[in-house]
Amino acid sequence: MSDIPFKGPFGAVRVGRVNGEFIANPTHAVRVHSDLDLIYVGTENDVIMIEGAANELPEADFVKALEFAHGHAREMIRAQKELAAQVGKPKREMPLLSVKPELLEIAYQVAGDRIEGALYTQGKVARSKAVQALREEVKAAMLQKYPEVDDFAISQAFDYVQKKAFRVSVLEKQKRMDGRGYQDLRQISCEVRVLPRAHGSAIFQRGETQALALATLAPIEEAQMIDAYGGGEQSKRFLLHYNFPPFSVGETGRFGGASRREIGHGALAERSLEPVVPSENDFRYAIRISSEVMESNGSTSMASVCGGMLALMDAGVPVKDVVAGISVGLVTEYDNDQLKRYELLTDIIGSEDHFGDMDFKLCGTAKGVTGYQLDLKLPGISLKILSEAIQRAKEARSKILEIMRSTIDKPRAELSKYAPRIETIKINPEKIGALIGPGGKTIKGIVAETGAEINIEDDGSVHIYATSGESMARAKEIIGGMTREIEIGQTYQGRVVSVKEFGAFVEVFPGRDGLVHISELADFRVKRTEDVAKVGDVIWVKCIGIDDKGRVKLSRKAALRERAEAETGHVPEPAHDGAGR
Amino acid sequence: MQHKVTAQIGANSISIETGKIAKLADGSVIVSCGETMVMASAVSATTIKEGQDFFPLTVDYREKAAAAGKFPGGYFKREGRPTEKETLTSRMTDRPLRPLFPQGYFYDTQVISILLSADGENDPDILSMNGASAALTVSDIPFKGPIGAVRVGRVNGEFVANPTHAVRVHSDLDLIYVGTENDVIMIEGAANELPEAEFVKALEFAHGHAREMIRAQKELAAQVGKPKREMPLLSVKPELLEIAYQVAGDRIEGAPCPTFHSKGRSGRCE
Repeated sequence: MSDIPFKGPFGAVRVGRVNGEFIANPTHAVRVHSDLDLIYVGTENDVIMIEGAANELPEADFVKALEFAHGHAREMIRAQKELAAQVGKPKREMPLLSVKPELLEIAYQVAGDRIEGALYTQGKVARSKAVQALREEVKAAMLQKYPEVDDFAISQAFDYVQKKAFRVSVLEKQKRMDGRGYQDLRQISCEVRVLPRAHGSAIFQRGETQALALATLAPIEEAQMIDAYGGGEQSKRFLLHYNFPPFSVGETGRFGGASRREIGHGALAERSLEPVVPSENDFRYAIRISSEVMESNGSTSMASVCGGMLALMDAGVPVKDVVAGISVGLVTEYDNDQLKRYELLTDIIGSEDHFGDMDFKLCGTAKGVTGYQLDLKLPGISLKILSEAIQRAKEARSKILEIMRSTIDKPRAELSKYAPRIETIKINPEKIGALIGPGGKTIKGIVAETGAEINIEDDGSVHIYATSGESMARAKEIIGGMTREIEIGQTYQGRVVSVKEFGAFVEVFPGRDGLVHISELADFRVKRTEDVAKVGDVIWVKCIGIDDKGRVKLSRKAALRERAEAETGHVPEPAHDGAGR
Repeated sequence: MQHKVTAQIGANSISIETGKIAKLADGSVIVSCGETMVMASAVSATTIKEGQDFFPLTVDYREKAAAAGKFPGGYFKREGRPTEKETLTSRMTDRPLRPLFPQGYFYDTQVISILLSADGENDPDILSMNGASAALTVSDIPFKGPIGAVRVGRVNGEFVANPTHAVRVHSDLDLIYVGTENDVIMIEGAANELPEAEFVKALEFAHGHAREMIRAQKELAAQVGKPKREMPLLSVKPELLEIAYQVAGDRIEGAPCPTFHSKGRSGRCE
């Protein structure tokens, strides 16, 4: 519509799938039931970008979804063209920066057959020198023929040399820069439990790309809240954060907050793994993976998927299946805007991404597709090429899955001893108030004493999180004690809280006491209550009745008799002296 | 190729490994003590930026929450701005390294250390300092180190090398000492009214342990056997400097020069 030169329009559409039926631009309400989230952007005839995730969607259905999407993208294009025709604004004619083809060819003749050798020189300093020397040669040759060339032309020409050499190598010599065949994966190795304190950890190495993934389990209350102004989920309990420090490529640079690229790569890896993460009901944890890229030569996001997967299994997360991901690249040759030939490259390295035409990343399980992302440098490719790339990715994925499974084939049965344990006990909902205490005082006291975290739901479910068995047991004991009912016929150890003429009040559980009548204090006649029970004494009592007002009648006499009978080494249940707060 | 050395410092040994992770950095190591692990990397550019007139060295230490089995606190469950501990450790790692690069070495240089595992007892700051030095030492980056870093505490009058947090509670000294083979290069810390004579003894005690860390790093570098890169250094002929001094030397102090007294990082007078 504007007068800015633009070879569009393109059309964008979201496709979901509910009960096997594709739906164009589903609402958030519909998407909850969808097993596919495909964002598709197409030009008139080609696909230009896709992104999204699916719930292990078989490849054949995925391709059908792309075809379905394309029809809707065209409709968006038609509407935009109609609008532009109505507006009728001509495009502005602007001078474009370019370098004469002759100049580019001079550069290629000088350096074309040596550039690969220079780019693959061993050692950073030597490589930098070799490339720099070649650049100087190119510059000298260009200046000799055309003394007026500027820095822009030289740098464009040098870039052209590299790009053309790469294309000639792949298409003519059928040789990739590192000597691999088109469909070969780089050497892959995996290792788990590399860090002693992380709840799960793994190294995934593919050639010169290395991701160190750390998995952390936390109470589900630590899930990330989301300001979803545009609708959708309000919180996320599975997070994957991706970090790409500059040393991973052997360079100096910015180090700190997450860049757009880092957030995008993390999101791709996150949605690729999310379909196999167990539901909240099966695994009441928030899970965070941080993928620290330690080495990078292409496709660190896919290494983060594989590393993250291994770290999840290492952490003992009961995942539903194993996910892996791989990139597929593309090199094309055009003749007058007609595609003459192309080659797909499996597992592209950094320079194949840089000089090639496509970076397509596809993740999934043995069953089907999860996360994916397509970036192109061309103004579109046909769905046929994309379908072939999907097939390539699938073949590579099954090989990677095999390697990953040979390292760890299923989630560990036990969580790390440093991971929080979660146990849920049920209490009478009427007791919730007592457990929380005035202003949360009681519950805070328990948290402080035990080191456990405690969350209470309205139905009386109490979730206790603790990092040690000891802390878990103590928290359970206190909560159990506070919320337990005194039962008739049971014997307890309690503390005398007040003494009256007619008997003693004994606190059996915190906040729960009963009366031992003077006649029940001992099996002899007690003159004064104080003779047997003083405030603060801890004595054994048996509950002999609860009246209709809930008042508890206790007997020390009956408890002592019972204990005397059981004096055969039977250990009574652990004493609770009421000091739990 | 993976290599590993160990140094015995106080009750705990410290190991330094290289060749396993971050192999595209010019130098990288993992330093471990107990179950605390810090990775350190060093990278230096091969060209000098045009107009560069100071040594652009950046040193960063960062902690990963996952290292301690935690989610990062706060609303965003992501490591954000550096904490005070991270900034202080970055500075402590930076200060002893800075004087050990050749004069006129103006190549962009970056040292990054990351806490990967934290046992809550062995403080990662000492590992970050030794790791940064080790990463530079095994790399081909020109560096006049290694340096050795050690923390010294004092409990019941006895010095303790690299005390754990549990021990530090009872300590009346917290000395962070960084030394080269024969000299001290940085100290920092606090003490509970420690008499000066004792303080000097603590420094002497520390130096022995710093040397052990240096020994280990040299051993590692010998195993790796990477020669230092030869890089042209930027320098100005001494005659030129002397001409400048002859012209302005006896009048410069009188000239108003606002940056001269400021605490700017370069303290240069422009």
